[in-house]
Order: sequence, then structure tokens, then C-alpha cells
Amino acid sequence: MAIIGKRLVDQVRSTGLKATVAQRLDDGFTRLTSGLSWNDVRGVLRGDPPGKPNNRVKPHTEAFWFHIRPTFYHEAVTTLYPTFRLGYMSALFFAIEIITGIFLMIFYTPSPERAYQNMLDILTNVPFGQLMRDMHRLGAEVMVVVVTIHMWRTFLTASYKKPRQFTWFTGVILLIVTMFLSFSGYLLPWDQLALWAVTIGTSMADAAPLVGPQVNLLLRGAPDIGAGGLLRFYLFHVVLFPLIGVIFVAVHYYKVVRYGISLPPEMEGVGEDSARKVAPDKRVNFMPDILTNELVYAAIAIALLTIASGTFYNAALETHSNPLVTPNHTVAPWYFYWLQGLIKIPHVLPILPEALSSQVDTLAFNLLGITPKILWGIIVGPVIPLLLMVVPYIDPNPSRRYSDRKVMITLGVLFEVAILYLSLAGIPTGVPVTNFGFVGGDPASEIAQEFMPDEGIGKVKRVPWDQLAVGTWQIVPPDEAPNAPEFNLLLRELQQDMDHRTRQADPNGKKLNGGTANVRVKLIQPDVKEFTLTISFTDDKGQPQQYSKTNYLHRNSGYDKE
Amino acid sequence: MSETPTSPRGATPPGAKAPPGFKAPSGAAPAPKPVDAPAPPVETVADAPVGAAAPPGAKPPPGAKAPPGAKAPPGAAAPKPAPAAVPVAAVVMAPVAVAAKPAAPKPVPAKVEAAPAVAAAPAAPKAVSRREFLNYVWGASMALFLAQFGGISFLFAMPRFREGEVGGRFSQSVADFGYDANGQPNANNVGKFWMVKVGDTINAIYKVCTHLGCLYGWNSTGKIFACPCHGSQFEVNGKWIAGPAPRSLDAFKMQVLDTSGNVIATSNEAGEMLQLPANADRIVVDTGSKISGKAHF
Repeated sequence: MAIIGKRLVDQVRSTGLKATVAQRLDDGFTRLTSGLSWNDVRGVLRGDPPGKPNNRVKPHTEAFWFHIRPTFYHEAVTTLYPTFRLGYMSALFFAIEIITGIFLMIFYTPSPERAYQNMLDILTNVPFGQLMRDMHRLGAEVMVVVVTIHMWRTFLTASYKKPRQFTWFTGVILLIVTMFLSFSGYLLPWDQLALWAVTIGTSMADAAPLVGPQVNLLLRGAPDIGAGGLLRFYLFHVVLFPLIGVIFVAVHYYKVVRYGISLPPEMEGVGEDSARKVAPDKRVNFMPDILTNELVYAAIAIALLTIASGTFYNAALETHSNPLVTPNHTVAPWYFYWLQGLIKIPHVLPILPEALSSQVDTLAFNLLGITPKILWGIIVGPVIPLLLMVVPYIDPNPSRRYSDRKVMITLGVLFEVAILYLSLAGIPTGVPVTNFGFVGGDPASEIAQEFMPDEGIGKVKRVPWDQLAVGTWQIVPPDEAPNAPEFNLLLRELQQDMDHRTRQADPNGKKLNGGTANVRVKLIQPDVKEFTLTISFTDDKGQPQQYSKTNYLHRNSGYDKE
Repeated sequence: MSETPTSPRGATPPGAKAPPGFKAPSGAAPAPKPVDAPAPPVETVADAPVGAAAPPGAKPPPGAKAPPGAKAPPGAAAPKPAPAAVPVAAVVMAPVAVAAKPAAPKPVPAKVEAAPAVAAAPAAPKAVSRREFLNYVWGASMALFLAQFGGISFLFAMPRFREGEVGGRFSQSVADFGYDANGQPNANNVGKFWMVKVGDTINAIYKVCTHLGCLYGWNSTGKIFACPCHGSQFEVNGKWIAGPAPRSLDAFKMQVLDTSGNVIATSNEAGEMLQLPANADRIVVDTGSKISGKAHF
């Protein structure tokens, strides 16, 4: 202590107080930046050329955050093509998810008694709570998109080839982690969507041969999803998957520093990798060019995400989970539609004619114990990511040129088309033209589902409360209520829908026969109206049938203003 | 590739820069071996039959080059007179092959010259040293531990149930089996089963769809069970009609009791509809024993 004090005194005596303070401050600043003095940083900010030796590489060797980034890029990869900055964007969204997620965790308890109430609190009582939740949800979905396109781009430019095979491998793991992260977050709001989408997801695991029931129990924490399942999914979501994600992001990043970013395929010879052999005049230093550029990207992405979350995007929250009622048209999240489409494939070999494929199914079941659901959902489904992982190791073509990779690119496009087709089949309406994947009840209940869905806000609830005219109104032909234009529009739309379903059969060949319908609106409490739709028709056997469904609307519900 | 081989403790070649903690031996030719060095390369040279070309114990020429691939550690070349046993540091377990090399008389282009010496080595397979063996044993015990840890993790993570939480015996009266005013079968929501009745036969059908675990509902217009998730359809008796479900609905085992509590009928193994005896009074549904529905192909 005494010595430090003496030195300080000596320095002050020889150079003066002002210079000493300035020098000491600059010392501290240089430590913070791991090697750049204030003047060096000003040089960076002014755009001065780096000195010789370039001390701006010091943070890359000395400091953690810079050492995971390369010191320079080839100028050819600093344009939008070929990277589109998608890898950086994926990491950025991962960071956004962590930050918004921590804020949400503050107000959340993973217990069936409290989770849903916590959600309502976040949406209504927590300042910016709804914004945080919307950003978290939207960010998660954007992240799935960005990661997928990142992989797709890497495939197209063949950047997975030597020496980057393992980088690709870890990338596929990160894709899976992204999807699981997104899916495990699904259960946490503890609404109907959460409960039933996750029930479907874990039932897929249940169908796996041998280990299925055990895996299902491990995931759900009980035969049915309840308190144990919610806690488990919470831990997956906030601990396990983020941990795996961080580890593999680190490996992935290390590989990028190690091998550099692959140049556009046309710039290299076949089998050559020159990303790290960059002539000095082709180098673009990370500091300041890439750094400022990335900060701009980050700023734009965060701004867009915030604006979208603050304006038109509203993360859905359905009604409280109910283990006794599965809502109509329950689906997995959209990025699992392809898997849902896969498990809808009715046969082991669906390309054969119906009679023959049934025999093949019987044969497969008797010989191997394989049902179509096991084959497509449990065997083929997980094999797809495994297949993606080994692509670099089985692709024998050393060339990265587009013109040399016609077969591989065609296979990739076909794969993408298949995924899109299966995704289409995964939604309840299925693939148009064919009836593959179509899930439909009888036409009357489908009409009711369209206007008065089990979950969410349908057209009926969007009619302003004042315009819901009390009384009984015929739909075929539509009655006209006085001073209720939106209510009358609803009646006309109902009539058009019924007319459409009377004339045109759905993919299952079902039509609405001789349908008549009425709507009854009743004031059951001073501020609550009951809306009942009743559809009468004759069924396949010629018997008269009636279907009715009821919605309730409160004066202050305000769905029409959303 | 370009990594410099670091000298593992105990294998420090004479003349090479010793790792911290060791005193570098002074440059004398037959260097004193560092403490606890197990197999000093110089001795091996003397015994090695492969190195026959060289006179036993002959000093390797100063400045002998390292074999290809193994770059000499920075300090190694510095003390000139040291015998060039440097590569030993890189290949601890291969004293013979490596030691043979410096014995070669002419240190001409190392790459060409080193090859025959190394090629001759496989004739004498390296014996498992005590250290190697103990490392294998140690590694195996670690693997065993990890396997045990995996097994314990599985047991630890498996959920535990209280008695009666999963599966229980529900006693229903015969009158419960049937339909309500709207024609919908009666159900027990705690036990999660429908109590269906067709003619004189009854069954307790599990309310969960055999496809992906959704709760299917009663379609009052079609008088069938229909699943809202993926559209599977079943008859009242549980038989599969359409949709992706792989089998008919599952049923629970039932016991039919008469008024004095004697079991007068039980479900069959296939879980089919059970003929109701005339003197039936109560029906005990055991949700702990589920009978899988029949696969439909």
C-alpha cells in the first residue's frame, strides 16, 4: 500500500495531478477493453485504419466476448449474400428469449393452482407484462424460422462440407433444441391449448416401441399431465434445454472462429477451403466494421420485434386448462405440423391402392409389430433430424458449386416440398384437393366451430353487445334485425356458409342435408346475453337431427374492439 | 497438427526444457534422468533389437532431427549437445519405436529416414505398461459409475404415485350404465370411463383416444364417439370406424356383483362387451387394469 501510494505521489510530483489522473483513468479503461486505450477506441469510432501491429485484435485474444468472434472476415462474406447474417440472428433471438424469459419468470409459478392466474397477472397487472410475453412468444417463433432458414442457406451454399461437417452437426442439434425449447414453453400458460397440444406431443413419445411408456411417464410426471408434468416442462424450458443450447452455441461459435465463414461457392476451387487464407487486402476487420454492422442488425431486429409485439401481435391465451374437455381442432404448434401430418398417414405404404395397402399394414403388424403410427410418427419422424445430422458425412461430392450439386439440391428441394405438404396435412382442414389430413366432424358442428370456436374469439363474439338483438331469428332465409348491421351481416354469413355446405361435400363426402337454422339471443342477466345457434338437418339415415351450440357475451367483453 | 507436444510429467527427455517444477538437467550427454521417469529413452535404445544398426549406447549425433509430424518443443533444440530423444515426449507409450530413431547413423532428410525405423517397430508389440493398465481399470470403473448414475437418474426422475392416484376400483350401480336424457352415454369423469350399454351388454370404455391421448367426445348427431384432435371415430361399443387411431378404444376390467356381493361375471381378456346377468346389482370397474382395444388390421 505504502509503495503504491509512494508511486502515485511520485507520479503526481513529476507529471502533475491532471496528467496523472488522465493516465490512471486510461489505464483502467484499457483494462476494461482488454487492450484498447481511449485513443485506440476513438480511432475505431472515427474509422481510422488500424495501426501496425494492429492492437485491435487484442480483445479477440484477451477477452471472452471477443474471442468467440473472428478477428476478420473475408470481404466476400460481409455482404448480405451468402450468409444473410442468419446465424448471428439466431444467436440474437436466443439472447432476446433469455432476457424476456427471465422477466416472465419473475411473475410465474409452475403450479396448476397458480400458473394461469400468473398469466392473467402478467397480461393485466404487470407493467409491460403483455409486451414481454408477446416478445417472448413472437421471438420464439421467429427464432424457429430464422434457425430453419439458416440451415437451409447452409445447405444451399454447401457450407456444411469439409472442414465444417461438425459445425453442421451441432447446428442440427441447435435446431432441435430450438424446437424443444419452443414446445416446452407451450405448456406453461396452463390453458387449453397448452394442456392438449402437450398431451398430443407426449402421446407421440408414448407410442414409441419398448421405451415409449417410460419416456411418457418421465415427461408427464404422471399418466396424465398435471402438477408434475407442468413442473417438469418448466424445468426443461428454463434449465435443461437452455443449458444444452448454450453449450452447443459455444461449440458452434468456436467452429466458426476456427474455420471462418465459408466463401461463396463460386469463389473457391473444388475441394478448397480458403476462408482462413485471406489476403490482407481482402480482410474486413471485425472491429469496427463487422461489429457496428451487427449492432445495426440487432437494433433493427429488436425494433421490429418490439413494434410487432406492441401492435398487431397478441400471444394467444385460451381458457383455463380442462382435463375433461378436449377443444375441437386442437393442433400442435405450426412448426410441428409436419410431424402431425406424418402421423396422419393411414398406411405403412400409402402409395399403394387401398385394398393392397391394408394387407401390407396387416403384414407389417403381424411380422414386425409396426403400425402406420409407429412407422411414420415414431420411426420416420425422429429419423429426419438424424438424417440431417449425417448429411455432411454421406454427401460424397467435394464440390460446393451449385452446378455440380444438382442432385443434392434437387433432393433438398424435394425434402422441403415434402415437409410443406405434410405440414399442410397437419392442420385440421388437411391438404386441399385430396382429403389427406382432413379432420372434420359433421357439417353442422363444423359451421358452429367456424363461427363459435371452442377456443378463441369467433365471429359471434365480435358482434357488438348492443347489436345482439334479443329474439329468435331465422337464418334460411336470413331475418333482418332493426338497427343491427353487424348482427345482420353475421346472419347472412351463416346462411352463406350453410348454403355452401349444402351444395358442396367436404373431403369426407359429407353434405349438409336440408338444413334450416335459427339463432336465439336471450338476455339472461342484466349484462349477459346468451347466443344459441340451432341447426336442424337430416342425417345419412334420413333421421331429423338437431345441433346447437351456445356462446355467452358480457356487456364489457369488448371483443368487437380488439 | 501444429500443436506442440507437451512433455508429460516423468517423460521429460534429457535436454528438453523441463516443465515447471523440474530443474532442467545440465546439458551433459547421458543426461541424468529426471525424478520418477519410468522409462528413460537412452536405456531403451541400448536394449532395443531394432536399433541394432547403432552401436549400443552410442550417442546419437547431436542435432538429430525430430521425426515428421512431431515438432520439437521450443526449448528442445536449444541445448545443442543434448541427445535428440525429444520425440519420446510426444509418444510416451512407444519408447522402442521412437528410441530407435535417434540411433540411426545419418540424420539426413528426416522424413525419408524416419520411415523405415518406425516401420520396423510393429514387430515388437508394445506391452501394456502398469500405468496403461491401471488407467484402463480406472476408466472402466468410471464408466461403471456413470452407468450406475444413469440408472439412478432414471429411477430418481420417474414419477411416484400415491395409492389410488392412478387406477382405482369404482363401484357403479347397474343403472349407471346407459344413456342420459340427450342420448349421451353416462360417464365417470374421475375414473375417466364411459359406461355404455348396448342391448343387454355393458362396457367401461376408457375416455382417452387411442391415437394421441385427446379426450374424444360424444357426437349426438351420429351417435358415435368422435375425437376433436385428429378425427378418429368409434362406435358406442368402442369399435374403430375411421380416422388415424391404430386400434379400437381401450376398456377397463369389470366385475359384476350380485346383491350379496358375489362376483357373478367378469370382463373377458379382450375387453369385449359384457353380457349382463339378470341378478346383477353393482359393477366394479378397475381402472388399474386397462385392456387395449383391438388393432384394426
